[in-house]
Parts: sequence; structure tokens; C-alpha cells
Amino acid sequence: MSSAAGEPDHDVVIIGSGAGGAACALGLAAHGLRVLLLEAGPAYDPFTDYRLDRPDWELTEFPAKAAVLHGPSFAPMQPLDERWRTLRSWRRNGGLMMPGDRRRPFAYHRVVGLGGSTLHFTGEAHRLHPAAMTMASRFGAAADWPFDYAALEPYYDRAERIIGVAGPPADNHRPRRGPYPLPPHRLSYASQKIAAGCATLGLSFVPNARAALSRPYDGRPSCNYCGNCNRGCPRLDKGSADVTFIPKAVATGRCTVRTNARVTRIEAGADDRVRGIETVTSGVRDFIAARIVVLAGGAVESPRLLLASGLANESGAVGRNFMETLFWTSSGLFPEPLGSYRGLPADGICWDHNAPDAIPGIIGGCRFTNGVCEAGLNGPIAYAQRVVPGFGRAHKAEMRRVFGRALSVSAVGESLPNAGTYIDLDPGQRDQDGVALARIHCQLEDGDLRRLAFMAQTARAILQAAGADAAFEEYGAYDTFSATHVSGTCRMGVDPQRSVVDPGGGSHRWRNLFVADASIFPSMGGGEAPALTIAALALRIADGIADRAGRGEL
Amino acid sequence: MPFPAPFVRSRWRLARRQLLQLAVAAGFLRPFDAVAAPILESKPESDPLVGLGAWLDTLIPADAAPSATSLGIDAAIVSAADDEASKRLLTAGCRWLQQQASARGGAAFAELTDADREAIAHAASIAAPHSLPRVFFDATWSFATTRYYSQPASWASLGYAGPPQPAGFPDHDRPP
Repeated sequence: MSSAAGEPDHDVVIIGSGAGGAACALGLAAHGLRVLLLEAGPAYDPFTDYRLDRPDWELTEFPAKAAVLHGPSFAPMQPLDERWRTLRSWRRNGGLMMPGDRRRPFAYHRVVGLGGSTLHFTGEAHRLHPAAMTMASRFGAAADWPFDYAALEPYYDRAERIIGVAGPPADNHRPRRGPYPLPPHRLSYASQKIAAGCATLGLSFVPNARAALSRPYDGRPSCNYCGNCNRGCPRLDKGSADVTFIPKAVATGRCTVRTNARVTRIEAGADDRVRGIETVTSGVRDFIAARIVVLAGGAVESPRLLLASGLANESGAVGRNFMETLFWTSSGLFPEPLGSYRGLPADGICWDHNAPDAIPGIIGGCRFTNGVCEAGLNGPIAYAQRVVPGFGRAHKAEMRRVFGRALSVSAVGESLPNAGTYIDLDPGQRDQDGVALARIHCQLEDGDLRRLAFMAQTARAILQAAGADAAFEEYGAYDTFSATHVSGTCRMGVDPQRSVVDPGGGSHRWRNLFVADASIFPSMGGGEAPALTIAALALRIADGIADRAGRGEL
Repeated sequence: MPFPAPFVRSRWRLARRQLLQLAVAAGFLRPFDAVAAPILESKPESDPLVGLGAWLDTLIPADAAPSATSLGIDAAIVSAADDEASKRLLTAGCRWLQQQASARGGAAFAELTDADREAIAHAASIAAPHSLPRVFFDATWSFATTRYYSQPASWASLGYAGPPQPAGFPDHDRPP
């Protein structure tokens, strides 16, 4: 896409429209730069694509429109160890969920569509714990962020206002310049039970910061607590990128969106600059010249494209330092009706073990939430198949007795990089465009497993203190790779020998190539959901690009 | 991002595809196991799916809520079984039901007492994992519950005021 004179029609081409690409697009367009935003998948229409009004709503997960033909593939994972048998995933109805003696991949969860994985995210809008940004200097783990929390705080604030984040009035750990744009959501009745259980254990349980509107905001209605953020929000109250950053970017008149445009290569040019990208749009190959390229495909696709293009890997760090999702969920039945299918998923949170030194004897934190809706225990089919055993009259009677009583406590913990956990190109598998698939290698180390054991132990304790019966289902990362929060594979840092991009997101070598997604995280916090940090970081990167472009450096 | 619930979505992605997957996984496109082979080689009944409705109503009988066949699950499963593996699974399963009925002195599965039908279903539910009775039970149970509980007629007795939209659950912070 270029003018008749061969000059690009756009100042910046952004690859990927998730939290990073979308926020960067808005940031750049607001500075007057002309942006072409490329998305490999289609656009979604929330009113027609998210059919939570249908009787068979529970049959569909998030309605993937684009077949994910890009992989990734998975290398063989580690053998399981009898020492950690209490961390196996199991269900009273069916036994072990992941039989066998090795950890196995289930999925890298993502959406290929305009807005990326924000379309199916829960919408927890977390700021990183400031102490989690100095993991190397304080604990010798991961890497330090090349700037501190204070440098990111203005961008957190801006992203929260764009999204319409609802959150509690105080946060003792994450300094704020002002209150959240919207007041916190009320805890669901089920979450109130978890809060009571936490109180019994001396733990806090407070309203979570959520990218879901507690009041009408910016032309969007407030949430009606249907509990199905992960299936796509048909009301537009969830602050996914397609209803926040992207329409605002387009409204500037300087952002063009192109969907179904798969990027197959970034092309190197002269003088340590990239000159453009190769794309396949609806089967047609094209070359798009670009003055500036911003890569925002996420922590799996971004390193894949760089490796496939042979770019920006002077340090050898592209694909290294992959951080996955360390997760756990325990579910039991409450003795009284809760109507626990109602409410905002993860509406409350226990941050008490979130700081990197908050778990005794273990580096890296974690947090706990009400996990009922995210676990999918919010519909009759789930109860019929996962909760209630047997068949026939007894099954139906038990369905009537227990429906709405499921209570789940979920935990997400810090994932620290290690040498055995990385992304490379699969030498044996290519996608429909001929690009090698990303291949995920994962190794949970002893510290990860000890942290996971603490998460499981605490989740069980909270569930019991809340008054639930013995668990009927538990699952976690020990025997299953099932990642949503991933990061680290294009590490940001000041040392070109040990990082891929500089503190402004720019390649250490390629002067007009930037990365603006979770792949540049040096560490990922003690379970914080990454989307808000990705957006804040992308806004900061956009400011930096605009500054440098204004000075004629790009 | 969504919480990485790995086992939420795998079991009822699509009821029809699930039926096929179970049938294929159990070898219903290949030579059958020791139980299935003689059943399929036996002389077919005039209606190869005789007893299917009674079987489904054994799994989901009428009580305060309708039975499986009252909500059309029998027609739905026959319609969904539009591939060879699924058809053969249903056919073999129904013949197995008839054999069980005969063994109990009945003329047909549908004519057995509730207790006998439930005993047969229980035996199938705990049979060896890849045996015909177990695969037939798992496939039909999974399909039936998926389709049954995706119909509002099944929800009233549960006190479920779904679907989730457009009303949502604005009373979420109060006791149900």
C-alpha cells in the first residue's frame, strides 16, 4: 500500500490489533501520525456474534471465526513427579483430566480477530505491583524493567480512562494519581461467601479492578452481570480493544484498519532499517512499504515473526524468557443456594500474596479470585456433566438440589523465565502461508511447583473457610499447559546483548522496528492480568515513537 | 485474558461432533471389539434403533421436568448421527439393549421395568472404558444432557432464569 510515487501512505504499520497494537494505534494517531493497523483475523459484531441470548448459549465458547491455522506446536513436556501428585487435575465425574505421566499441552488461548484476545478476556484491569518490576536486582530472577512504576503510572491512568475501568477507592500497593474512572462493582452473592472465608483466614478480599462498566460510560451501557465475559460481551460494556482503543483511533481520521491480513515477513532494508512487510490478505500476497513498523502479535506470534524474518535477534534472546500462565482452580459445592452463575467473573480478589516476597520461602507472588464463571460452572450443562454424578431420576433430583451452588477459588501466580522455556520455529510444521509454526517449550521448575502448591493449598483453604463441601473438581498448570497470560519472548532492556528491544520498545539494531506487546515484559508480576499493562506500555511506546519521528530520527 | 480453564470447552464443543468423536475413538469405523462384533453381525431388527427412546428416557426420565424424548432428544440424536461411525454406534448400542432385555426375560428394552432399565444403564456406565456399552453410554449421555439442558423447558425446575442475556443477572449480589 503506497502512493503513486512509491512512498508509503502511512507513517506506521502496526501488526496485530490486541491490547498492544490497538493502544499503540490510538497513541500514534492522536499524535498526528498516519497508522495502518493490520489484523490477521476478521472483525466481530458483538450484537450478532455473541449469542448469549440463545437457549443453547452454553454450547458455544467464544465464537472463533478464523481457524487458528498458525499453531503453535508444542515440544514434549516434562515428566510428572510423584512428589506433586496433589497438583494433578481431576474431577469427581471422571477421574484424572490429563491421564498419563507427562505434562501435556491443552491450548494457548487467544483470539484471532480485531481486538485480539481482549475479545475473550475476562477484563481484569491490573497494574503491576511495583516490586515485581525489579525481580533481578531484588531476587536474582527474571529481569528488571528498564524503568520504574512511576514512569508507567501516567499511562496506566490514561488507559484506564480510555477503557472505563471500575475499581476500588484505595490500593495500598500501587500508587495512583487519582481514583478509578468508575466505582467498583458490587461483589456477587457467591463472592461475598469467598470474602467471608478469606476474612476467617485473616485474608483480604476486595473488589477487583475490572474493564467492565459499573456505570454507563463513553456511550456504552453498564454491565448487567451475566457472567460470560469470556464468551464475548454483546452489550459493549466490557472494555475490549474493539470498543475502546480501535474506534477512538479510527475516529481521529488517521487510522486505517485492515482485517484478514496475515503478515508473513518483515523485510530488512538498508541502513539498519526495515523497509516493509509481506502480507497475505484474502489469499493475495502483497508488500506494504513502511516507514515505521510496530509488531504487536503477542508473546508467541511476535517472536515467531521476528525469527521467521531473521530480524532483531542479535542478542539471541528472541523467543527466550517465555513466561506462561501458572494457574489453579478448586471447586466445591456450597451447602445453600448461591445462584453463583450470576455476577461479574473475578469480581473480587485477594492480593495478599501478590508481592514477589509475599509467599513464605518462595520467590514470586500470586492472587486469588472467585473463579466460578471463568471455570465455566455457570450453566446447566456444566452441572449435568461436571458436577452431578450418575444418571436418571437421582441425577435430576441432584441437579435441582445443587444448581447454582458451585463455588470456585482460582489462583494465578508468577511465572519466572528459565532456560527450558522458550519459543522457537517448528522445523516440521508450517502454516497455510508457508511460515514455520511457533513451537512452545515449557519447563516448570521447582520454584514454580512450590508456588503452585501454595496456590492450591490456599485456594482449598479459602474454599473450605467459605463453607464449601469437599472439592468436586480441581485443575492447574502442573499437568496441563493452558496459557492465556504469556510474555517475555522479546525482552525489553538497556543491554543489547541481553535484550531484544530498548526501553522505548525499539529494536536495538533496527531503528524503525518496534515491539509493543507482552513479549517485551522483563517480568510479569504475581498473577496480575497483563492487558492493562500491555496497553499502558503501548501508549508509552507510541509517545516515544512520536517524539523520535518529530525529531526526524525515524 | 480469560482464566485458562482447560477443561471447560472440550466436552460439549458441539454435540454432534462429540458423538462422532466418541464413536471413532471407540473404533466404530474399524473392526469392532469382542462385544460389538457379534452384535453387529446379528440379524437386525426391523427398526435398528428400537429402544433408543426408552434408553434416553432412562438416562433423563420425566419428573418435575420433561423427559429426554419429550424435548426431542431422540430425534436430535438420530439427526446428528449422520456419519457412518455414529450410525453404527447407535445401531450397535440399541442391539445391545435388546440383548440385555432378552437376558432379563423381556421382549424389548422399552418394556422392562424402570428398575431393570436403570440396572442396565448402570452396568453400561461402569463397563470397561472402550467397550460397546460404555462408549454407547458415554456418547448418548453426553449428547442427551447437552441437548436437554440447552432447552429452557429443562431450566424451570432448576430455578435457572437464563439465558444470560439480554436481562443479565442484576440481582447478582443478593441471595437467589
